[in-house]
Amino acid sequence: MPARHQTIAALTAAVVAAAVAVSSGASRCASCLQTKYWTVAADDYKQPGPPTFPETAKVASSDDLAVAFSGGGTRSASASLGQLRGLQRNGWLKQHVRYISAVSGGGWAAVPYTYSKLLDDALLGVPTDPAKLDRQAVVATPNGAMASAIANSALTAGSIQEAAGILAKQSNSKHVEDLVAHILQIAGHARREPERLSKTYARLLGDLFIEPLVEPGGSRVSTRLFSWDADTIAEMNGLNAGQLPGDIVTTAQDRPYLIVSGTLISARRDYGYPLLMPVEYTPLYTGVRQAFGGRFGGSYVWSWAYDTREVGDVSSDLLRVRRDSDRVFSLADVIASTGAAPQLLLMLGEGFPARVRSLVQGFAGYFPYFTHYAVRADEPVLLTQEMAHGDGGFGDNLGVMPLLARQVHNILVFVNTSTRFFEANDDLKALFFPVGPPDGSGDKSHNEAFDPADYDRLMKGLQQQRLDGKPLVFCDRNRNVRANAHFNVRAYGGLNICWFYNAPAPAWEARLPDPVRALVSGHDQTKEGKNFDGFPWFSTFEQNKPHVIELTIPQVNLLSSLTEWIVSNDETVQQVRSALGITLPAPSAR
Amino acid sequence: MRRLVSAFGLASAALALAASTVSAQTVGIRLLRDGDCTVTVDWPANTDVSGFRLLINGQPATRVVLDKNAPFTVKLADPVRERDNVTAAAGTLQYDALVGALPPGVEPIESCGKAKARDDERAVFESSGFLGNVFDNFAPNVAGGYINPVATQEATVVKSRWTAGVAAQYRLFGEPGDTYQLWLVSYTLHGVRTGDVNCAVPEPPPICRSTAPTGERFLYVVEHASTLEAHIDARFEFATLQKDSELPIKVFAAARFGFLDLEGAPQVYNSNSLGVGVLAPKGVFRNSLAQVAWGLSEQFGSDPHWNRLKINGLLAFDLMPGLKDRIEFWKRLGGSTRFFVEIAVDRNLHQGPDAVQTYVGLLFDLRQAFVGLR
Repeated sequence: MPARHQTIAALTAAVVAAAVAVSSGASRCASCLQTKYWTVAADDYKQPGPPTFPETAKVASSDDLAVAFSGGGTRSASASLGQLRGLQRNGWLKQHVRYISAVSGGGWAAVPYTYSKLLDDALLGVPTDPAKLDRQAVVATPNGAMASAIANSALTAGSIQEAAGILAKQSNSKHVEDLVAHILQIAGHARREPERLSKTYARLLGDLFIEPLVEPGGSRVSTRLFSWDADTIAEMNGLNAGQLPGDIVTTAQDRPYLIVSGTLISARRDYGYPLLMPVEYTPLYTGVRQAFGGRFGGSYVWSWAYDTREVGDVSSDLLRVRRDSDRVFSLADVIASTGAAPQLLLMLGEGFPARVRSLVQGFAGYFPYFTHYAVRADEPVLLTQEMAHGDGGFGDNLGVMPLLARQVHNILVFVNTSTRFFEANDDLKALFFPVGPPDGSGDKSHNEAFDPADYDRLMKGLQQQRLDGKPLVFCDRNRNVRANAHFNVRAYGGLNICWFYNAPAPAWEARLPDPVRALVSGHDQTKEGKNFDGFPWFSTFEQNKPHVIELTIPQVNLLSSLTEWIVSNDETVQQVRSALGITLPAPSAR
Repeated sequence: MRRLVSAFGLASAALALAASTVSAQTVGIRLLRDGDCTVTVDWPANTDVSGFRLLINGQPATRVVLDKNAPFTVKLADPVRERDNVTAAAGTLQYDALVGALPPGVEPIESCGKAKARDDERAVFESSGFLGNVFDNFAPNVAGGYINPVATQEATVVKSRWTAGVAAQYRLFGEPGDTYQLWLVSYTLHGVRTGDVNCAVPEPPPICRSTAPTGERFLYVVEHASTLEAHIDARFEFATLQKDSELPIKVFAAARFGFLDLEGAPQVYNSNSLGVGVLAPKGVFRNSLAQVAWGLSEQFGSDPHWNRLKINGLLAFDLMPGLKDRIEFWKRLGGSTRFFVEIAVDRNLHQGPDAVQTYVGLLFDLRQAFVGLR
């Protein structure tokens, strides 16, 4: 094309572009509400010094201490329950812990804990000396509401309701659909956002871990937005003149700030393996810390503004987004995303014959899919189609990275794994050097945060504990954190970290009364003693076939008793207190 | 005011873009727009591209194909989207590009490759088993003995066989969107005369029991067949009527090469024909057809040669079509079970034997015969 023609073409393009910009600006989401947003530079991990997060100033009054609960389904939820109880018993949790980071099953315990209006003993159960455990109580009575929820996590009833709803929709008849919805409603089981297949898993988990634990009594928490505290609600309402609902769920008093990990999945057919992007769900905001191209990540928005249908104008720190009463991003969605362990495997269709692969991949659609958007300075915001938001464990299954991003200097990591030998645990290993190849369980090749030499120290420390017959707890002091581009983590030093690895504790077992010890050791031949093989390394799925995730009452009670004792026994308390760079209450002060 | 600034910025960007294109073509990734399905890279001369890598938003795109007919161009399976970051790397060279917006007025592209044809739902290969009955509506009584009079204790005039078989078709040339398509069709039909089976015994064979698994009944007929018909068709589709309607129709010409084998017969009888017909390529009645042909049927004692009119009408339809179309599970298993009714006329226009037969039954996923699915 001659240069003169190109110039004319360019001028025409300029005029068209200007016209489009002006006209489109006028029509973008005029009736939308306003949300705050925060952007994070893609190269933030290269910067020196501590980063600032939206919550930084407000949480500064608590100690520079965080806990991380790993993934692992109901096994991890049970172990986390015990650990929460132990931390509470130590007097450390509310008064000292700044952050709780949770992944997958750890989130199933941490999210209700953060938001529950139940009293601590009612929710977490009563701290109990293992020597005083009574067999009858152990096998018949869940210790607290959370234990009860885990022990009643059969998906059968919920699945039947879901199946009824889905079949009604498939019938292609509005009358049938309405009839089934009506019947479910009368039965008290109305399905939230029934038209969204991708909310199936959230509906199931919400009924198990949110409804009975956060605000028991039928307040339908899973149908409500969530946020942080009264100040935040006031700020939101100030910007939106009361257009937000008045029943937004807020965190319970004195709870540490919660960070739940998920994974945003971009599954182009061009990719040999999907692009996995770490998502953070928190009470105040949700987003992907690192930018992946111009469409994904690099920003946070208020959590209620995630998964929207439409985005509008962006100003210096505010963005307009549409909010619909029939589309609610709730706590149920958070626990569904963070715990969507099968989703990636289904999407990949690994191990299935080609003929049924598409069928298998279709089942991924029952797990969370949300819209996503990235805010870039001075550019219109682009909303994606609904994208898979999978398990946080597809990346860092231990929940350590969000804490390193916030430069926490004292961290307790609870590795509630089913991998018997810590030497073989890839989630641990991946924090020190790349682990691969990526597969249906995730991509562990981007998690490097520590010096590989520290891995040897950790392994030796745990091995020594094992040799001594002690709980697998190892604390390391004054470690360096390496910059990590994938999670956008800056380098820093002075980290004190204690690792709690899921394993038996002979001293705890020795304290148990004989009938209770018989359960743990597999010598109890009654039905209550069934499926204790491999305690405490219960399987993430089908420990009690045919149930998918349900554990029995004695399994939950005893696993949580073990982890509570490990956290709260004198030796561990001393070990942790001496390792951390903060002052935690001594046992005598409890 | 801010919009005006933005507009000015966009205008400036467009000018800058034009200015860059005015200059000589440089190296790097060529301009990308939302919906593009190819990425073209201009490398410096003598660049070793053997270790070429393409990344989209930082993730390796390893399932791309190089277009051999264009300068270094990569074909994508999914279109790039506005603000995707595309990186092309080879050796020590690396180029990045941000995908631009869709030009105004252009429809967004959902996927790369040809759009799925709306008027043809047939896969490149389709197969199914069938199980049913065939009734001789008009046939000489000398071929009687269809019903077992001992077993049924009653006289009847119904002349029928249980039938089972396999029907398959493969698209040799063409694609779903094409008017011209060539298909290879194969068909077998195994028949057991009802008169040869005693259903009145305490443990009757599976074919007598409606509760028996489809696979068992299918295999029984195949194993005890006293008749076998088979043919291969070459079917050339050359026109589509009622395109984009709910029921488009393919017009075809077909050549059939087949045979008929009867238990106790001295030979295998050829049954060939040439014909034309119409066929439904989509919808509830997919693969239903009507065909008129001229051919030979050697099984007839008189006038068996190329002077026979053969008319075939097949109606195949889905059970509960709404459900079938919406439940992915059924679709992936090869489609739901379908009904069929077929009438086949084979007649001599002059004096001589004719045959009119009606087939009814179910088409089903063939794997049911072998894995016990029902």
